[in-house]
Amino acid sequence: MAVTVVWLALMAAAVAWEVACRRSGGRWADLAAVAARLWSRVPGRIVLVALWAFVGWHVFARYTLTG
Amino acid sequence: MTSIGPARSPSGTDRPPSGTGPFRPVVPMLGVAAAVVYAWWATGQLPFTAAATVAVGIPVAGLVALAVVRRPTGTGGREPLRPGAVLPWAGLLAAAVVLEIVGLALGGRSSGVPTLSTVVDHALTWHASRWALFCAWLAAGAAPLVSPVLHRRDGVA
Repeated sequence: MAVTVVWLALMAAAVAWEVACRRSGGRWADLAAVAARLWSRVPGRIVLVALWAFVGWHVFARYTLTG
Repeated sequence: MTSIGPARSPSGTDRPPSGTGPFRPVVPMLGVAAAVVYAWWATGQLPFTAAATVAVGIPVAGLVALAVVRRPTGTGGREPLRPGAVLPWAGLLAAAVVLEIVGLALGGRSSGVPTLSTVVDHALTWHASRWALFCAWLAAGAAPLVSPVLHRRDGVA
């Protein structure tokens, strides 16, 4: 249970940090900026597409119904 | 001499009437509607079935095609990211990786130290929550498709 809370805290921290980055006026890189930078090069594209595909496959095609 | 052309904005710059015309906003809206309907169908498929894999594979194939068709253009004149600017993200990622490794080392389905996917599984119990997450996943994948459009609009404005 405690680690579940840690996971949720990490997700909340990521969302909060993304909001803070977007309000920082470019001082800190938001996720869109990082992704755009990766997308501008072939290896970065491969990483982004592979990561996105893995998340989709793992979460939506291989999930386990709880309860 | 009278010039005929787009109206000038108060700032004095020529600006084409964005969003005007009967069809311009319709196409993106139809795309979003189709994605929403598709997401509902896709998240109705049973996990560990071919249909579920195909439902995920179709958008993946679309993004792969987009990645191949739209060739990288380099940094596009943007300044490189400072390493310090992404340091907090690296910290969050490192924390997540450590937790995931510990969870996997404990068998992957430990209730004491669950992996991220075990935590997410709880949110996948209901079709509506699966659908919402699938829509978010599709939106993330559509970002390379949508961003240039937004960028062009920003550039015009």
